[in-house]
Amino acid sequence: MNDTALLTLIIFAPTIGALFVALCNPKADGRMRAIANAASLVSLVLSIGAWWYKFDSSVGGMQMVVNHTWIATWNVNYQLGLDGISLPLVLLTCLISYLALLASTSITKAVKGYLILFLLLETGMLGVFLALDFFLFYVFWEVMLLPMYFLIGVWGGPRREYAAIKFFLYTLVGSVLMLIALLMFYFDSGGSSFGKTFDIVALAQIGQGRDASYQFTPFVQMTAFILLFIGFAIKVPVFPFHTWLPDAHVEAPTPISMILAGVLLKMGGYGIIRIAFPICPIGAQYAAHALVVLGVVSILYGAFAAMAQTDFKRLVAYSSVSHMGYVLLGIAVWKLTEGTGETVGRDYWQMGMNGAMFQMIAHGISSPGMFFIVGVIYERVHHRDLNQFGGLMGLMPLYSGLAVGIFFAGLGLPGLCGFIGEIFTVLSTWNYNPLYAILAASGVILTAGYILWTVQRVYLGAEYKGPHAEGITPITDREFGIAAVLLALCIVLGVYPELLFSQMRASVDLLVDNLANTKGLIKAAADVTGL
Amino acid sequence: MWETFQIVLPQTVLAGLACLFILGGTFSIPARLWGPLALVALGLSAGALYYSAGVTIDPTEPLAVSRSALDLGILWSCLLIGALFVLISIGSQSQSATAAEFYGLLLLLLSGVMLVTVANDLILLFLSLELISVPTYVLLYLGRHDNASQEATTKYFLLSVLSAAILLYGFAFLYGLTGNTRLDAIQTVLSTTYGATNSDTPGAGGSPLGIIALLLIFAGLGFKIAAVPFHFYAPDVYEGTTAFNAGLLAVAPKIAGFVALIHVASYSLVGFERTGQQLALILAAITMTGGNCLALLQTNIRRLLAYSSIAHAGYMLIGIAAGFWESWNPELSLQGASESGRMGLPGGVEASLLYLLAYSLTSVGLFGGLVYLARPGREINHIDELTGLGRTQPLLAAALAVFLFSLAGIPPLPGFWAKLSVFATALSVRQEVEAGVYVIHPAFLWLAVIGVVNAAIGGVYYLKLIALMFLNDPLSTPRPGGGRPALAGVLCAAALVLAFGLAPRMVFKALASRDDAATSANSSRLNPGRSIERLASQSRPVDRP
Repeated sequence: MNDTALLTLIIFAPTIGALFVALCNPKADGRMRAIANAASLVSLVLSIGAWWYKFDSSVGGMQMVVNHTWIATWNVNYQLGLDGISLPLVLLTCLISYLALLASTSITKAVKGYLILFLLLETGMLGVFLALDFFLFYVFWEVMLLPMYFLIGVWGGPRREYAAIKFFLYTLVGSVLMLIALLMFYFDSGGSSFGKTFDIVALAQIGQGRDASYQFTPFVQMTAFILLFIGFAIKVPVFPFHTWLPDAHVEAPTPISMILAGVLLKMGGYGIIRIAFPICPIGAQYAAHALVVLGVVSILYGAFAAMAQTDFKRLVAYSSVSHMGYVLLGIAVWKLTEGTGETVGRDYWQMGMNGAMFQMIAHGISSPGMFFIVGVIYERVHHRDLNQFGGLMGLMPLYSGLAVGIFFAGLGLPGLCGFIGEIFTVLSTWNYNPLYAILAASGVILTAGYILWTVQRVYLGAEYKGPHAEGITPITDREFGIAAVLLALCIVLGVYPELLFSQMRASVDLLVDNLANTKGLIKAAADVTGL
Repeated sequence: MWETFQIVLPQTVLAGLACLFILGGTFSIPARLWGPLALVALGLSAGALYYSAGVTIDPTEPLAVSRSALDLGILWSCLLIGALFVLISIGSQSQSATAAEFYGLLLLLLSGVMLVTVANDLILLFLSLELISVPTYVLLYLGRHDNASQEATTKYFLLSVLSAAILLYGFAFLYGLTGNTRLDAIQTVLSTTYGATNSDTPGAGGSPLGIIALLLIFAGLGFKIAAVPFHFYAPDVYEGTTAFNAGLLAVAPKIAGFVALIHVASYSLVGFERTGQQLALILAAITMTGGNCLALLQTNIRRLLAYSSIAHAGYMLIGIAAGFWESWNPELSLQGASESGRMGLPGGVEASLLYLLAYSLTSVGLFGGLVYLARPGREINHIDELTGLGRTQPLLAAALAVFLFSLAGIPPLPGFWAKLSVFATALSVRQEVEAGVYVIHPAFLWLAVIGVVNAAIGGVYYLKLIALMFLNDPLSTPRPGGGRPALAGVLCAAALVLAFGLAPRMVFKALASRDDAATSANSSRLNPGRSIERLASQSRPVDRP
């Protein structure tokens, strides 16, 4: 299969599935679900196939690059590709989408519309991770917005309308700011050897001064970096742009919460790694300190906020804010000496970058797991008040075992996936500034605090204290399967992290090298900013 | 001389048939026939336009009309939008005692808009603008008979007359400056005196007369396009009239106003571009922000859409501002000229026209939906009346959602391509900071930032409507009184909007080829400041669209 067909099919298999679902009789529930599952499975299988047979982990640059003209007037191309940074996220997206679709049996209202929107959402997410053309990236980014709005707004909880609008508007603000940066790059790249372009790889070369004829000026890089960072930070979410998250996560139905936590948040981190840093390295080096501080604040704020929650789902939502703080921290620990612009401890920064990537994947597995665990119990007892649980270990032993395992993965217990990402980022932060490392590490303790307390209140104890005790039944095979897959991945990645690191090392290496060797960092930049 | 009559043939056909309609109203012809007859009239006019499309004008001959390939596109769009307006009104006019007058005035108004597009003379331009205003007064009066409606009509009448006077005053200064009323002659006189290639300070203009003329023209046409601070009538008038009239007001004067502004200010007032650029820039910023912020507070659907139409005028002014800059910086302008075999991007003015087309199509559909939902004597007033429409009228609600998402600028709908184009033209504006070093013009960067923040603010109230329609349970079952033709009109508009959105290449291509044609030697409406460079480098044959 050639690369065009392969990557296109990975992205659009869900859309084709959505078309078939649209043709079905709205009453034929089972058939529609089967079609949707099959479409999602096609994407999953193809992406695993692309990884296994086509992907070469020793290459740092883009692989399987596909390039076709889309809108000639604007020099917009249908340009796709994979590297060690996007491949794990594509695999994660396919896996979490498939699992979330399996978990969608609890949705019984307007199933047809739900499945169509869900599949379109999957197309949007995969497109974002595979696009190498900034314009295409932007279109996929927005394409994902509308299905998500309706999925939260129609199938969500009691405050769904508020949550959906808030989600939509926050993301819209972020994306329109991204639009300005996109157009700035486009027109400013006119002087380069590429001509006016949206090609992300070419723009990165222009930003890093690797293009012979032109480099983005510090003014452009700083302005664009701020615009891009706000856009992506909303998605991550970074304190203080996070307030949409608890509402959206809590009101969304369980499968959509899994997608939100597992994939959508990663799009923010991916945007920072793929676009904001490579294209605007000079902007990034000025902002690095602020980013580190924001990362640490997110970690601590998210943890404290999680600790204060009494709603089970809200607690998990805030834990996402805290865990995604490590991602920002790991990306941003870029230390430069004043004056010369040398990168200090390049290897530490690379370690932080690797840790951030690992943390994205780890959180993308453990967080959907946690939301799924919450969803399972919510379906049975119809409440989420942490103070009205207890004793589930005795009533649902298998479920409780899986739940505790997944929560410990989120906690960062050594041997489970959460540990690796956190320890890597905290260690690399020490090189940047020991104080921030200490603060970030204390986030781990806070996390342990709220998770252990939650486990104690929900699963341990003598008896179940809440309402609907009669609804508590052992978990079904389907639920067990979903949770078991997630827990198994938590364990595999925790015990053998090299599985993931080996795939992304070359790409992260290349990225860090390119950024560290950017022309015009600090000193030279200071001369030009006199403009 | 004969070409003049050929060029205005479609307009003449419309105006003549309009007179027959009004006369025919005195005979006892069934009311339901007038709507289809109006469609026939539009068809005849389209035939006349098809016939006259091949007519070329000798640029050396002093004529009162002129028509570039771009104008031809506007004329076709006008007829299309006019047909949609007729379609959505057929149901509600089928029992009306004044149907003949209604359609007669509608056709007259449309012929006015089309005359504005081809007018090459200040006097003809002014008269065609009046040909839009006068039928509007009557239409507003025909629509409803209550106090609010009378207040709205009076308000519109008085302010419209005032703005016409201001515009005429501006035209008088322009005549005084150049001694001519023909636009191409004005352009020639001004470009030999103040043009970019003949002046040490390009675009700065030497004469205060020109600046006064520009100010007055902006003020006069600002009323037509409902730009802040000339917008005060719009919310009251929209609220006080029928959904159909509100839609007509949101579209027809906007088209006429922008086309007139482009023809007079952007193309003809050579040498005063810097003033024009500053004016358009400030107007754009306050119009967008004012319109969007006030729309947030509205609960009356027509009032809300009035403020939204004000806000959209602001986005279109961004393109106008960038167009002024391109005029006095032909060599710096990154837009337009072909580059390595790729088609040119739309320039500032073309981007505005693209926006105008996207906005007009969407607005017709949106107001058409309100016409369809209304019953005789009972309009949709409060936005809550749309609650749960997704459940009770799924097809209509889906079409309305398409329009609203397009207005909010969500890809891949036309509103997105339009916003992208105007923001792109703003960000393509460069400023020379020192010899040979160019940076993005900070004022335009700010304008673009204000623009996108506004796009997000606009998203709030469009989304509020969508949420009402789809995320809430219906309060009551609506009994639409607009009839099937109205629904058909709305769905046609939705289909056009989707086609435009999914195949933007077609529209960009058309704009680019029109752009080439507009600047090639065969066109009479030249814009020397902008096109001299391109004229030298390319002399392509005119594309017949």
